[in-house]
Amino acid sequence: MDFFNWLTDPLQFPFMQRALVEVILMGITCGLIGTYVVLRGMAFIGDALAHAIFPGVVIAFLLHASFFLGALVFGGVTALSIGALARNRRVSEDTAIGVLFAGMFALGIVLISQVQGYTADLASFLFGNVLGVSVEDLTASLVIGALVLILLVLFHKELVLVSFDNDMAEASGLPVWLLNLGLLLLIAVTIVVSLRAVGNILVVAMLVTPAAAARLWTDRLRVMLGLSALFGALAGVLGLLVSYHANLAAGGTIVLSVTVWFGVSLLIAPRHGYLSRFLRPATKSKLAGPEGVLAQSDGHSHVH
Amino acid sequence: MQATISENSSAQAPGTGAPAVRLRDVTVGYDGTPVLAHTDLEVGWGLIVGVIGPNGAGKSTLIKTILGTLRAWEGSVEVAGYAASSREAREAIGYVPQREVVNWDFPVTVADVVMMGRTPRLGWLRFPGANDRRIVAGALDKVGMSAFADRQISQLSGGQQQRVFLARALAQGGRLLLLDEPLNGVDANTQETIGEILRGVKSEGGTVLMATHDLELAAAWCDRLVMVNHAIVGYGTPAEALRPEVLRLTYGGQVLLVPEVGNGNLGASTVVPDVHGHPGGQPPPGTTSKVL
Repeated sequence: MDFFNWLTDPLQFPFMQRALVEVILMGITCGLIGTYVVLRGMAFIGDALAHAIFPGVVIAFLLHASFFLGALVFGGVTALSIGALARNRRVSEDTAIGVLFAGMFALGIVLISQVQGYTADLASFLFGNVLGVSVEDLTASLVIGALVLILLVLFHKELVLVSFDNDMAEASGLPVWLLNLGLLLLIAVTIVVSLRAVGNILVVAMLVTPAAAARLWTDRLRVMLGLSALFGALAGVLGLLVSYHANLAAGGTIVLSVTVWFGVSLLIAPRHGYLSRFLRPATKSKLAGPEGVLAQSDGHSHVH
Repeated sequence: MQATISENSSAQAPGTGAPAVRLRDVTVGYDGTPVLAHTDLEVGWGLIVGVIGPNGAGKSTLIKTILGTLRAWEGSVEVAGYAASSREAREAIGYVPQREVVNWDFPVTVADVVMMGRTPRLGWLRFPGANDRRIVAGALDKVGMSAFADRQISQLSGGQQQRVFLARALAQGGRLLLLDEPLNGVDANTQETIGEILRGVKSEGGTVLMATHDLELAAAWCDRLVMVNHAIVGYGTPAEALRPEVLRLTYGGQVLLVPEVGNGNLGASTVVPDVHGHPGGQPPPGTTSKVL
Protein backbone atom coordinates (compact mmCIF):
# COMPACT_ATOMS: atom_id res chain seq x y z
CA MET A 1 0.00 0.00 0.00
CA ASP A 2 2.80 2.35 0.87
CA PHE A 3 4.47 1.54 -2.38
CA PHE A 4 1.24 2.22 -4.23
CA ASN A 5 1.04 5.63 -2.62
CA TRP A 6 4.69 6.19 -3.39
CA LEU A 7 3.81 5.66 -7.04
CA THR A 8 0.56 7.61 -7.18
CA ASP A 9 1.03 10.49 -4.75
CA PRO A 10 3.16 12.58 -7.09
CA LEU A 11 0.58 12.22 -9.82
CA GLN A 12 -1.93 14.49 -8.11
CA PHE A 13 0.10 17.37 -9.54
CA PRO A 14 -0.43 18.20 -13.22
CA PHE A 15 3.26 19.10 -13.67
CA MET A 16 4.18 15.62 -12.45
CA GLN A 17 1.68 14.01 -14.81
CA ARG A 18 3.21 15.89 -17.73
CA ALA A 19 6.70 15.04 -16.55
CA LEU A 20 5.76 11.36 -16.33
CA VAL A 21 4.37 11.26 -19.87
CA GLU A 22 7.45 13.13 -21.07
CA VAL A 23 9.98 10.72 -19.57
CA ILE A 24 8.05 7.73 -20.94
CA LEU A 25 8.00 9.20 -24.46
CA MET A 26 11.65 10.15 -24.18
CA GLY A 27 12.65 6.73 -22.84
CA ILE A 28 10.91 4.91 -25.68
CA THR A 29 12.23 7.18 -28.45
CA CYS A 30 15.79 7.23 -27.11
CA GLY A 31 15.69 3.48 -26.53
CA LEU A 32 14.66 2.76 -30.13
CA ILE A 33 17.11 5.05 -31.89
CA GLY A 34 19.77 4.29 -29.27
CA THR A 35 19.79 0.67 -30.40
CA TYR A 36 21.33 1.82 -33.67
CA VAL A 37 23.64 4.24 -31.83
CA VAL A 38 25.00 1.33 -29.80
CA LEU A 39 25.19 -1.24 -32.59
CA ARG A 40 27.03 1.16 -34.87
CA GLY A 41 29.33 2.57 -32.21
CA MET A 42 27.92 6.09 -32.57
CA ALA A 43 28.01 7.09 -28.89
CA PHE A 44 30.54 9.84 -29.58
CA ILE A 45 28.47 11.18 -32.47
CA GLY A 46 25.40 11.21 -30.24
CA ASP A 47 27.23 13.15 -27.56
CA ALA A 48 28.56 15.58 -30.17
CA LEU A 49 25.11 16.17 -31.64
CA ALA A 50 23.70 16.88 -28.19
CA HIS A 51 26.36 19.48 -27.52
CA ALA A 52 26.14 21.02 -30.98
CA ILE A 53 22.43 21.66 -30.49
CA PHE A 54 23.16 23.96 -27.57
CA PRO A 55 23.76 27.21 -29.56
CA GLY A 56 20.48 26.61 -31.39
CA VAL A 57 18.65 26.47 -28.10
CA VAL A 58 20.37 29.64 -26.89
CA ILE A 59 19.60 31.56 -30.09
CA ALA A 60 15.97 30.52 -29.89
CA PHE A 61 15.91 31.72 -26.29
CA LEU A 62 17.46 35.08 -27.23
CA LEU A 63 15.05 35.61 -30.13
CA HIS A 64 12.06 34.35 -28.14
CA ALA A 65 11.62 31.81 -30.92
CA SER A 66 10.65 28.18 -30.56
CA PHE A 67 13.19 26.33 -28.46
CA PHE A 68 12.38 23.24 -30.44
CA LEU A 69 12.94 24.89 -33.82
CA GLY A 70 16.34 26.31 -32.83
CA ALA A 71 17.52 22.93 -31.64
CA LEU A 72 16.18 21.23 -34.73
CA VAL A 73 17.98 23.61 -37.10
CA PHE A 74 21.32 23.19 -35.33
CA GLY A 75 20.87 19.44 -34.97
CA GLY A 76 20.17 19.18 -38.69
CA VAL A 77 23.12 21.40 -39.65
CA THR A 78 25.47 19.42 -37.42
CA ALA A 79 24.22 16.08 -38.73
CA LEU A 80 24.77 17.31 -42.30
CA SER A 81 28.23 18.65 -41.46
CA ILE A 82 29.31 15.39 -39.83
CA GLY A 83 27.94 13.48 -42.81
CA ALA A 84 29.77 15.73 -45.26
CA LEU A 85 33.07 15.78 -43.34
CA ALA A 86 32.99 12.01 -43.02
CA ARG A 87 33.31 11.82 -46.82
CA ASN A 88 36.65 13.62 -46.69
CA ARG A 89 39.46 11.13 -46.34
CA ARG A 90 41.91 13.70 -44.98
CA VAL A 91 39.85 14.46 -41.88
CA SER A 92 38.96 11.37 -39.91
CA GLU A 93 35.39 11.19 -38.72
CA ASP A 94 36.10 11.36 -35.00
CA THR A 95 38.38 14.36 -35.55
CA ALA A 96 35.66 16.14 -37.50
CA ILE A 97 33.16 15.40 -34.75
CA GLY A 98 35.54 16.57 -32.03
CA VAL A 99 36.23 19.86 -33.76
CA LEU A 100 32.60 20.49 -34.60
CA PHE A 101 30.93 19.76 -31.29
CA ALA A 102 33.39 21.63 -29.09
CA GLY A 103 33.21 24.65 -31.40
CA MET A 104 29.43 24.67 -31.46
CA PHE A 105 29.19 24.26 -27.71
CA ALA A 106 31.60 27.16 -27.21
CA LEU A 107 29.42 29.28 -29.48
CA GLY A 108 26.44 28.47 -27.28
CA ILE A 109 28.33 29.46 -24.13
CA VAL A 110 29.51 32.76 -25.63
CA LEU A 111 25.98 33.56 -26.78
CA ILE A 112 24.32 32.82 -23.47
CA SER A 113 26.92 34.82 -21.54
CA GLN A 114 25.30 37.88 -23.18
CA VAL A 115 22.17 37.27 -21.18
CA GLN A 116 21.79 38.93 -17.77
CA GLY A 117 21.62 36.39 -14.95
CA TYR A 118 22.11 33.57 -17.38
CA THR A 119 23.18 30.87 -14.94
CA ALA A 120 19.66 29.68 -14.20
CA ASP A 121 18.82 29.35 -17.88
CA LEU A 122 22.15 27.72 -18.54
CA ALA A 123 21.45 25.14 -15.88
CA SER A 124 18.07 24.26 -17.32
CA PHE A 125 19.54 23.90 -20.82
CA LEU A 126 22.42 21.79 -19.64
CA PHE A 127 20.68 19.61 -17.10
CA GLY A 128 17.07 19.63 -18.19
CA ASN A 129 13.93 20.76 -16.45
CA VAL A 130 11.44 17.97 -16.75
CA LEU A 131 9.08 19.51 -14.17
CA GLY A 132 8.63 22.50 -16.45
CA VAL A 133 7.39 20.49 -19.43
CA SER A 134 4.45 22.11 -21.23
CA VAL A 135 1.66 20.46 -23.18
CA GLU A 136 3.33 21.73 -26.38
CA ASP A 137 6.55 19.99 -25.38
CA LEU A 138 4.60 16.79 -24.88
CA THR A 139 3.00 17.10 -28.29
CA ALA A 140 6.42 17.59 -29.88
CA SER A 141 7.77 14.54 -28.05
CA LEU A 142 4.81 12.46 -29.16
CA VAL A 143 5.14 13.52 -32.80
CA ILE A 144 8.89 12.93 -32.89
CA GLY A 145 8.53 9.60 -31.09
CA ALA A 146 5.92 8.45 -33.59
CA LEU A 147 8.06 9.65 -36.50
CA VAL A 148 11.10 7.77 -35.25
CA LEU A 149 9.08 4.61 -34.70
CA ILE A 150 7.45 4.73 -38.14
CA LEU A 151 10.70 5.45 -40.00
CA LEU A 152 12.56 2.71 -38.12
CA VAL A 153 9.84 0.23 -39.10
CA LEU A 154 9.58 1.36 -42.74
CA PHE A 155 13.33 1.38 -43.36
CA HIS A 156 14.18 -1.50 -41.05
CA LYS A 157 15.73 -3.78 -43.66
CA GLU A 158 17.79 -1.01 -45.25
CA LEU A 159 19.03 0.29 -41.88
CA VAL A 160 19.95 -3.21 -40.77
CA LEU A 161 21.84 -3.92 -43.98
CA VAL A 162 23.75 -0.66 -43.94
CA SER A 163 24.55 -1.09 -40.23
CA PHE A 164 25.66 -4.70 -40.53
CA ASP A 165 27.43 -4.75 -43.88
CA ASN A 166 28.31 -1.46 -45.52
CA ASP A 167 30.04 -3.20 -48.47
CA MET A 168 26.97 -5.23 -49.33
CA ALA A 169 24.72 -2.20 -48.91
CA GLU A 170 26.84 -0.26 -51.41
CA ALA A 171 26.94 -3.21 -53.77
CA SER A 172 23.13 -3.40 -53.59
CA GLY A 173 22.90 0.17 -54.81
CA LEU A 174 21.44 1.46 -51.55
CA PRO A 175 22.06 5.19 -51.01
CA VAL A 176 24.33 4.48 -48.04
CA TRP A 177 25.29 8.10 -47.47
CA LEU A 178 21.66 9.19 -47.42
CA LEU A 179 20.65 6.41 -45.04
CA ASN A 180 23.45 7.33 -42.65
CA LEU A 181 22.47 10.98 -42.84
CA GLY A 182 18.84 10.07 -42.20
CA LEU A 183 19.89 8.14 -39.12
CA LEU A 184 21.94 11.11 -37.88
CA LEU A 185 18.93 13.39 -38.35
CA LEU A 186 16.71 10.99 -36.42
CA ILE A 187 19.27 10.94 -33.61
CA ALA A 188 19.33 14.74 -33.69
CA VAL A 189 15.55 15.13 -33.37
CA THR A 190 15.48 12.50 -30.64
CA ILE A 191 18.05 14.50 -28.71
CA VAL A 192 16.02 17.66 -29.20
CA VAL A 193 12.91 16.17 -27.63
CA SER A 194 14.98 14.72 -24.79
CA LEU A 195 16.59 18.02 -23.79
CA ARG A 196 13.66 19.03 -21.58
CA ALA A 197 13.92 15.89 -19.52
CA VAL A 198 17.65 15.31 -19.10
CA GLY A 199 19.45 18.24 -20.73
CA ASN A 200 22.37 18.56 -23.12
CA ILE A 201 25.01 16.87 -21.05
CA LEU A 202 23.21 13.72 -20.01
CA VAL A 203 21.11 12.96 -23.08
CA VAL A 204 23.81 10.68 -24.48
CA ALA A 205 23.17 8.38 -21.52
CA MET A 206 19.56 7.90 -22.61
CA LEU A 207 20.74 7.12 -26.14
CA VAL A 208 23.40 4.64 -25.14
CA THR A 209 22.73 3.06 -21.76
CA PRO A 210 19.26 1.47 -22.21
CA ALA A 211 20.34 -0.02 -25.55
CA ALA A 212 23.64 -1.23 -24.09
CA ALA A 213 21.72 -2.93 -21.28
CA ALA A 214 19.23 -4.42 -23.75
CA ARG A 215 22.07 -5.89 -25.82
CA LEU A 216 23.11 -7.90 -22.75
CA TRP A 217 19.67 -9.51 -22.50
CA THR A 218 19.13 -10.59 -26.09
CA ASP A 219 20.77 -11.57 -29.36
CA ARG A 220 17.76 -10.52 -31.44
CA LEU A 221 17.59 -7.05 -32.94
CA ARG A 222 13.80 -6.72 -32.66
CA VAL A 223 13.85 -7.84 -29.04
CA MET A 224 16.72 -5.47 -28.37
CA LEU A 225 14.74 -2.56 -29.81
CA GLY A 226 11.77 -3.42 -27.58
CA LEU A 227 13.81 -3.98 -24.42
CA SER A 228 15.82 -0.83 -24.98
CA ALA A 229 12.62 1.23 -25.26
CA LEU A 230 11.23 -0.50 -22.17
CA PHE A 231 14.38 0.08 -20.10
CA GLY A 232 14.51 3.72 -21.18
CA ALA A 233 10.87 4.34 -20.21
CA LEU A 234 11.10 2.45 -16.90
CA ALA A 235 14.30 4.25 -15.91
CA GLY A 236 12.56 7.53 -16.74
CA VAL A 237 9.59 6.75 -14.50
CA LEU A 238 11.69 5.35 -11.66
CA GLY A 239 14.17 8.22 -11.78
CA LEU A 240 11.38 10.79 -11.82
CA LEU A 241 9.62 9.27 -8.81
CA VAL A 242 12.81 8.87 -6.80
CA SER A 243 13.80 12.44 -7.56
CA TYR A 244 10.36 13.65 -6.42
CA HIS A 245 10.44 11.79 -3.13
CA ALA A 246 14.11 12.39 -2.33
CA ASN A 247 14.14 15.91 -3.71
CA LEU A 248 16.94 15.23 -6.18
CA ALA A 249 17.66 16.59 -9.65
CA ALA A 250 15.31 14.72 -11.98
CA GLY A 251 17.59 14.45 -15.03
CA GLY A 252 20.51 13.12 -13.03
CA THR A 253 18.34 10.65 -11.12
CA ILE A 254 16.84 9.30 -14.34
CA VAL A 255 20.28 8.76 -15.85
CA LEU A 256 21.55 7.18 -12.64
CA SER A 257 18.59 4.76 -12.65
CA VAL A 258 19.36 3.52 -16.12
CA THR A 259 23.08 3.37 -15.33
CA VAL A 260 22.42 1.21 -12.27
CA TRP A 261 20.21 -1.03 -14.40
CA PHE A 262 23.04 -1.39 -16.90
CA GLY A 263 25.34 -2.44 -14.05
CA VAL A 264 22.81 -4.96 -12.78
CA SER A 265 22.35 -6.32 -16.31
CA LEU A 266 26.09 -6.69 -16.67
CA LEU A 267 25.98 -8.97 -13.63
CA ILE A 268 22.79 -10.98 -14.01
CA ALA A 269 21.89 -11.03 -17.72
CA PRO A 270 21.58 -14.57 -19.08
CA ARG A 271 24.38 -15.67 -21.45
CA HIS A 272 26.21 -12.31 -21.58
CA GLY A 273 26.20 -11.46 -17.85
CA TYR A 274 29.30 -12.02 -15.72
CA LEU A 275 27.42 -14.24 -13.29
CA SER A 276 26.14 -16.61 -15.96
CA ARG A 277 29.57 -16.79 -17.58
CA PHE A 278 31.06 -17.61 -14.21
CA LEU A 279 28.46 -20.31 -13.52
CA ARG A 280 28.68 -21.81 -17.00
CA PRO A 281 32.33 -22.36 -17.87
CA ALA A 282 31.69 -25.22 -20.31
CA THR A 283 30.65 -22.92 -23.17
CA LYS A 284 32.32 -25.00 -25.82
CA SER A 285 29.54 -27.56 -25.98
CA LYS A 286 27.17 -24.84 -27.25
CA LEU A 287 28.95 -24.99 -30.57
CA ALA A 288 28.19 -28.58 -31.36
CA GLY A 289 25.92 -28.57 -34.36
CA PRO A 290 25.66 -30.64 -37.50
CA GLU A 291 29.33 -29.98 -38.11
CA GLY A 292 30.28 -31.30 -34.70
CA VAL A 293 33.98 -31.12 -33.99
CA LEU A 294 34.81 -29.56 -37.33
CA ALA A 295 33.03 -26.41 -36.30
CA GLN A 296 35.82 -25.72 -33.88
CA SER A 297 38.71 -26.91 -35.95
CA ASP A 298 39.36 -23.90 -38.13
CA GLY A 299 40.68 -21.70 -35.37
CA HIS A 300 38.18 -18.90 -35.97
CA SER A 301 35.46 -19.95 -33.60
CA HIS A 302 33.68 -17.16 -31.83
CA VAL A 303 32.77 -18.77 -28.57
CA HIS A 304 30.44 -16.89 -26.32
CA MET B 1 49.33 -14.68 -73.25
CA GLN B 2 46.77 -12.15 -74.36
CA ALA B 3 44.58 -10.34 -71.88
CA THR B 4 41.31 -10.77 -73.71
CA ILE B 5 39.79 -13.75 -75.33
CA SER B 6 36.30 -14.30 -76.57
CA GLU B 7 35.04 -17.63 -75.50
CA ASN B 8 31.50 -18.20 -76.52
CA SER B 9 30.35 -20.93 -74.25
CA SER B 10 27.08 -22.64 -74.98
CA ALA B 11 25.52 -21.28 -71.79
CA GLN B 12 24.75 -17.68 -72.66
CA ALA B 13 22.71 -15.39 -70.47
CA PRO B 14 19.15 -15.90 -71.71
CA GLY B 15 18.10 -13.24 -74.13
CA THR B 16 21.49 -11.62 -74.42
CA GLY B 17 24.65 -12.55 -76.19
CA ALA B 18 26.69 -10.60 -73.68
CA PRO B 19 29.48 -12.19 -71.66
CA ALA B 20 29.33 -12.35 -67.86
CA VAL B 21 32.01 -9.69 -67.45
CA ARG B 22 33.58 -7.33 -69.94
CA LEU B 23 36.20 -4.72 -69.07
CA ARG B 24 37.51 -2.48 -71.82
CA ASP B 25 40.59 -0.36 -71.23
CA VAL B 26 39.67 0.11 -67.58
CA THR B 27 41.75 2.25 -65.23
CA VAL B 28 40.62 2.35 -61.62
CA GLY B 29 42.08 2.99 -58.17
CA TYR B 30 41.80 4.91 -54.94
CA ASP B 31 42.60 8.52 -54.04
CA GLY B 32 44.18 9.38 -57.37
CA THR B 33 46.47 6.34 -57.33
CA PRO B 34 45.59 3.82 -60.02
CA VAL B 35 45.56 0.19 -58.92
CA LEU B 36 44.60 -1.33 -62.25
CA ALA B 37 45.62 0.45 -65.43
CA HIS B 38 44.30 -0.06 -68.99
CA THR B 39 42.81 -3.42 -68.19
CA ASP B 40 40.85 -5.57 -70.60
CA LEU B 41 39.01 -8.71 -69.62
CA GLU B 42 36.21 -10.80 -71.01
CA VAL B 43 34.74 -13.72 -69.09
CA GLY B 44 32.03 -15.96 -70.54
CA TRP B 45 29.26 -17.88 -68.81
CA GLY B 46 29.48 -21.32 -67.24
CA LEU B 47 32.96 -20.84 -65.77
CA ILE B 48 34.70 -20.84 -62.44
CA VAL B 49 37.34 -18.14 -62.62
CA GLY B 50 40.05 -17.54 -60.04
CA VAL B 51 41.52 -14.08 -59.51
CA ILE B 52 45.15 -14.55 -58.48
CA GLY B 53 47.80 -12.08 -57.43
CA PRO B 54 49.81 -10.71 -54.52
CA ASN B 55 48.29 -8.47 -51.83
CA GLY B 56 47.54 -4.99 -53.07
CA ALA B 57 47.88 -6.04 -56.68
CA GLY B 58 44.24 -5.29 -57.42
CA LYS B 59 42.24 -8.46 -56.76
CA SER B 60 39.69 -6.74 -54.54
CA THR B 61 39.82 -3.67 -56.76
CA LEU B 62 38.89 -5.81 -59.76
CA ILE B 63 35.98 -7.37 -57.86
CA LYS B 64 34.73 -4.02 -56.56
CA THR B 65 34.92 -2.54 -60.04
CA ILE B 66 32.78 -5.33 -61.46
CA LEU B 67 30.48 -5.00 -58.45
CA GLY B 68 30.05 -1.32 -59.23
CA THR B 69 31.06 0.02 -55.80
CA LEU B 70 34.26 1.36 -57.33
CA ARG B 71 33.78 3.45 -60.47
CA ALA B 72 36.24 3.03 -63.31
CA TRP B 73 38.07 6.28 -64.07
CA GLU B 74 38.41 5.30 -67.69
CA GLY B 75 37.06 2.58 -69.90
CA SER B 76 33.86 0.59 -69.63
CA VAL B 77 32.76 -2.19 -67.29
CA GLU B 78 29.82 -4.41 -68.21
CA VAL B 79 28.11 -7.20 -66.31
CA ALA B 80 25.89 -9.45 -68.45
CA GLY B 81 25.88 -6.68 -71.05
CA TYR B 82 24.78 -3.94 -68.63
CA ALA B 83 26.93 -1.08 -67.39
CA ALA B 84 28.39 -1.86 -63.96
CA SER B 85 26.41 -0.45 -61.03
CA SER B 86 23.25 -0.20 -63.12
CA ARG B 87 20.24 -1.88 -61.58
CA GLU B 88 20.34 -4.70 -64.15
CA ALA B 89 24.04 -5.30 -63.55
CA ARG B 90 23.59 -5.37 -59.77
CA GLU B 91 20.73 -7.84 -60.03
CA ALA B 92 22.92 -10.14 -62.09
CA ILE B 93 25.41 -10.40 -59.20
CA GLY B 94 25.63 -12.33 -55.96
CA TYR B 95 28.39 -10.98 -53.72
CA VAL B 96 30.43 -12.56 -50.94
CA PRO B 97 32.59 -9.90 -49.26
CA GLN B 98 35.58 -10.70 -47.08
CA ARG B 99 34.34 -12.15 -43.83
CA GLU B 100 36.25 -9.63 -41.71
CA VAL B 101 34.34 -6.59 -42.97
CA VAL B 102 31.29 -7.15 -40.78
CA ASN B 103 30.70 -7.18 -37.04
CA TRP B 104 29.79 -10.78 -36.23
CA ASP B 105 28.45 -9.74 -32.82
CA PHE B 106 25.58 -7.93 -34.51
CA PRO B 107 22.32 -9.23 -32.99
CA VAL B 108 20.92 -11.01 -36.02
CA THR B 109 20.33 -14.67 -36.80
CA VAL B 110 21.73 -16.71 -39.67
CA ALA B 111 18.38 -16.50 -41.47
CA ASP B 112 18.32 -12.71 -40.99
CA VAL B 113 21.70 -12.38 -42.68
CA VAL B 114 20.65 -14.52 -45.63
CA MET B 115 17.44 -12.49 -45.92
CA MET B 116 19.64 -9.40 -46.39
CA GLY B 117 20.40 -10.85 -49.81
CA ARG B 118 16.76 -10.19 -50.71
CA THR B 119 16.82 -6.54 -49.60
CA PRO B 120 17.97 -5.03 -52.93
CA ARG B 121 15.41 -6.97 -54.91
CA LEU B 122 12.55 -6.19 -52.58
CA GLY B 123 13.01 -2.45 -52.94
CA TRP B 124 11.88 0.32 -50.63
CA LEU B 125 8.95 -0.05 -48.24
CA ARG B 126 8.46 -3.73 -49.04
CA PHE B 127 8.70 -6.48 -46.50
CA PRO B 128 9.95 -10.01 -47.17
CA GLY B 129 7.19 -12.44 -48.12
CA ALA B 130 6.70 -16.19 -48.33
CA ASN B 131 8.66 -16.37 -51.56
CA ASP B 132 11.66 -14.65 -49.99
CA ARG B 133 11.53 -16.97 -47.00
CA ARG B 134 11.44 -19.95 -49.35
CA ILE B 135 14.50 -18.64 -51.20
CA VAL B 136 16.34 -18.08 -47.93
CA ALA B 137 15.50 -21.60 -46.72
CA GLY B 138 16.67 -23.02 -50.05
CA ALA B 139 19.95 -21.11 -49.91
CA LEU B 140 20.59 -22.25 -46.33
CA ASP B 141 19.88 -25.81 -47.36
CA LYS B 142 22.36 -25.56 -50.24
CA VAL B 143 25.18 -24.52 -47.94
CA GLY B 144 24.23 -27.08 -45.30
CA MET B 145 23.29 -24.49 -42.67
CA SER B 146 19.54 -25.13 -42.33
CA ALA B 147 19.99 -26.39 -38.78
CA PHE B 148 21.57 -23.06 -37.86
CA ALA B 149 18.84 -20.79 -39.25
CA ASP B 150 17.86 -19.40 -35.83
CA ARG B 151 21.40 -19.21 -34.46
CA GLN B 152 22.85 -15.86 -33.54
CA ILE B 153 25.77 -15.22 -35.88
CA SER B 154 28.39 -14.72 -33.15
CA GLN B 155 28.05 -18.42 -32.34
CA LEU B 156 29.35 -19.49 -35.75
CA SER B 157 32.80 -20.73 -36.65
CA GLY B 158 34.73 -19.01 -39.43
CA GLY B 159 33.72 -21.67 -41.91
CA GLN B 160 30.08 -21.40 -40.93
CA GLN B 161 30.22 -17.62 -41.31
CA GLN B 162 31.54 -18.09 -44.82
CA ARG B 163 28.71 -20.49 -45.65
CA VAL B 164 26.17 -17.95 -44.40
CA PHE B 165 27.68 -15.28 -46.65
CA LEU B 166 27.58 -17.70 -49.55
CA ALA B 167 23.92 -18.47 -48.82
CA ARG B 168 23.20 -14.74 -48.79
CA ALA B 169 24.88 -14.37 -52.19
CA LEU B 170 22.78 -17.26 -53.54
CA ALA B 171 19.63 -15.63 -52.14
CA GLN B 172 20.47 -12.52 -54.17
CA GLY B 173 19.57 -14.59 -57.20
CA GLY B 174 22.25 -13.32 -59.58
CA ARG B 175 23.99 -15.56 -62.12
CA LEU B 176 27.42 -14.03 -61.59
CA LEU B 177 28.90 -14.86 -58.20
CA LEU B 178 31.70 -12.58 -56.97
CA LEU B 179 33.68 -13.86 -53.98
CA ASP B 180 36.47 -12.00 -52.20
CA GLU B 181 38.81 -14.49 -50.53
CA PRO B 182 36.10 -17.03 -49.62
CA LEU B 183 38.64 -19.67 -48.65
CA ASN B 184 40.53 -17.68 -46.03
CA GLY B 185 40.44 -19.38 -42.65
CA VAL B 186 37.76 -21.94 -43.42
CA ASP B 187 37.88 -25.59 -42.44
CA ALA B 188 38.28 -28.41 -44.94
CA ASN B 189 34.62 -29.35 -44.69
CA THR B 190 33.47 -25.85 -45.58
CA GLN B 191 36.01 -25.68 -48.38
CA GLU B 192 34.44 -28.76 -49.93
CA THR B 193 30.93 -27.32 -49.50
CA ILE B 194 31.99 -24.07 -51.16
CA GLY B 195 33.56 -26.00 -54.02
CA GLU B 196 30.36 -28.00 -54.55
CA ILE B 197 28.21 -24.87 -54.59
CA LEU B 198 30.48 -23.08 -57.03
CA ARG B 199 30.37 -26.07 -59.34
CA GLY B 200 26.58 -26.07 -58.97
CA VAL B 201 26.41 -22.43 -60.05
CA LYS B 202 28.61 -23.26 -63.03
CA SER B 203 26.55 -26.27 -64.06
CA GLU B 204 23.46 -24.05 -64.14
CA GLY B 205 25.25 -21.77 -66.59
CA GLY B 206 26.33 -19.15 -64.09
CA THR B 207 29.83 -17.82 -63.68
CA VAL B 208 31.92 -17.58 -60.53
CA LEU B 209 34.68 -15.02 -60.06
CA MET B 210 36.70 -15.69 -56.94
CA ALA B 211 39.72 -13.86 -55.53
CA THR B 212 41.99 -16.29 -53.71
CA HIS B 213 45.48 -16.81 -52.36
CA ASP B 214 45.23 -20.55 -52.62
CA LEU B 215 46.98 -21.45 -55.87
CA GLU B 216 46.49 -25.15 -55.38
CA LEU B 217 42.72 -24.93 -54.95
CA ALA B 218 42.51 -22.38 -57.74
CA ALA B 219 44.27 -24.80 -60.06
CA ALA B 220 41.97 -27.61 -59.01
CA TRP B 221 38.64 -25.75 -59.14
CA CYS B 222 38.96 -23.10 -61.78
CA ASP B 223 38.42 -23.24 -65.51
CA ARG B 224 40.22 -19.93 -65.92
CA LEU B 225 42.61 -17.88 -63.88
CA VAL B 226 42.96 -14.10 -64.05
CA MET B 227 46.50 -13.21 -63.03
CA VAL B 228 46.54 -9.71 -61.54
CA ASN B 229 49.47 -7.44 -60.82
CA HIS B 230 48.32 -3.82 -61.28
CA ALA B 231 47.02 -4.99 -64.62
CA ILE B 232 45.83 -8.30 -65.91
CA VAL B 233 49.09 -10.03 -66.73
CA GLY B 234 47.56 -13.31 -67.76
CA TYR B 235 44.25 -15.01 -68.43
CA GLY B 236 43.74 -18.62 -69.38
CA THR B 237 43.34 -22.14 -68.12
CA PRO B 238 45.28 -22.93 -64.94
CA ALA B 239 47.80 -24.80 -67.04
CA GLU B 240 48.46 -21.72 -69.09
CA ALA B 241 48.18 -19.13 -66.34
CA LEU B 242 50.43 -20.93 -63.87
CA ARG B 243 53.41 -21.17 -66.18
CA PRO B 244 56.59 -19.86 -64.52
CA GLU B 245 56.85 -16.81 -66.77
CA VAL B 246 53.28 -15.73 -65.97
CA LEU B 247 53.82 -16.36 -62.27
CA ARG B 248 56.93 -14.21 -62.42
CA LEU B 249 54.89 -11.41 -64.01
CA THR B 250 52.24 -11.85 -61.34
CA TYR B 251 54.38 -12.08 -58.26
CA GLY B 252 57.37 -10.07 -59.47
CA GLY B 253 60.35 -10.39 -57.16
CA GLN B 254 58.70 -12.98 -54.93
CA VAL B 255 60.59 -15.72 -56.73
CA LEU B 256 60.11 -18.12 -53.85
CA LEU B 257 56.64 -18.87 -55.10
CA VAL B 258 57.66 -19.67 -58.62
CA PRO B 259 59.93 -22.66 -58.14
CA GLU B 260 57.64 -24.04 -55.44
CA VAL B 261 54.68 -23.98 -57.74
CA GLY B 262 56.60 -25.02 -60.81
CA ASN B 263 58.12 -28.09 -59.17
CA GLY B 264 55.07 -29.12 -57.22
CA ASN B 265 51.85 -30.60 -58.42
CA LEU B 266 50.92 -27.35 -60.11
CA GLY B 267 53.29 -27.79 -63.03
CA ALA B 268 51.62 -27.53 -66.40
CA SER B 269 52.10 -31.18 -67.24
CA THR B 270 50.38 -32.52 -64.15
CA VAL B 271 47.69 -29.91 -63.83
CA VAL B 272 45.94 -30.27 -67.17
CA PRO B 273 44.30 -33.67 -66.77
CA ASP B 274 43.58 -33.03 -63.13
CA VAL B 275 41.73 -29.78 -63.75
CA HIS B 276 39.48 -31.04 -66.47
CA GLY B 277 38.65 -34.17 -64.59
CA HIS B 278 37.81 -32.38 -61.36
CA PRO B 279 34.32 -30.88 -61.48
CA GLY B 280 32.40 -33.95 -60.46
CA GLY B 281 32.41 -35.58 -63.88
CA GLN B 282 30.35 -32.82 -65.46
CA PRO B 283 31.80 -31.61 -68.72
CA PRO B 284 32.21 -27.86 -68.21
CA PRO B 285 29.97 -26.16 -70.74
CA GLY B 286 31.91 -24.93 -73.70
CA THR B 287 35.24 -25.06 -72.00
CA THR B 288 36.67 -28.42 -72.86
CA SER B 289 37.70 -27.82 -76.42
CA LYS B 290 38.81 -24.40 -77.41
CA VAL B 291 40.78 -22.11 -75.16
CA LEU B 292 42.75 -19.08 -76.22
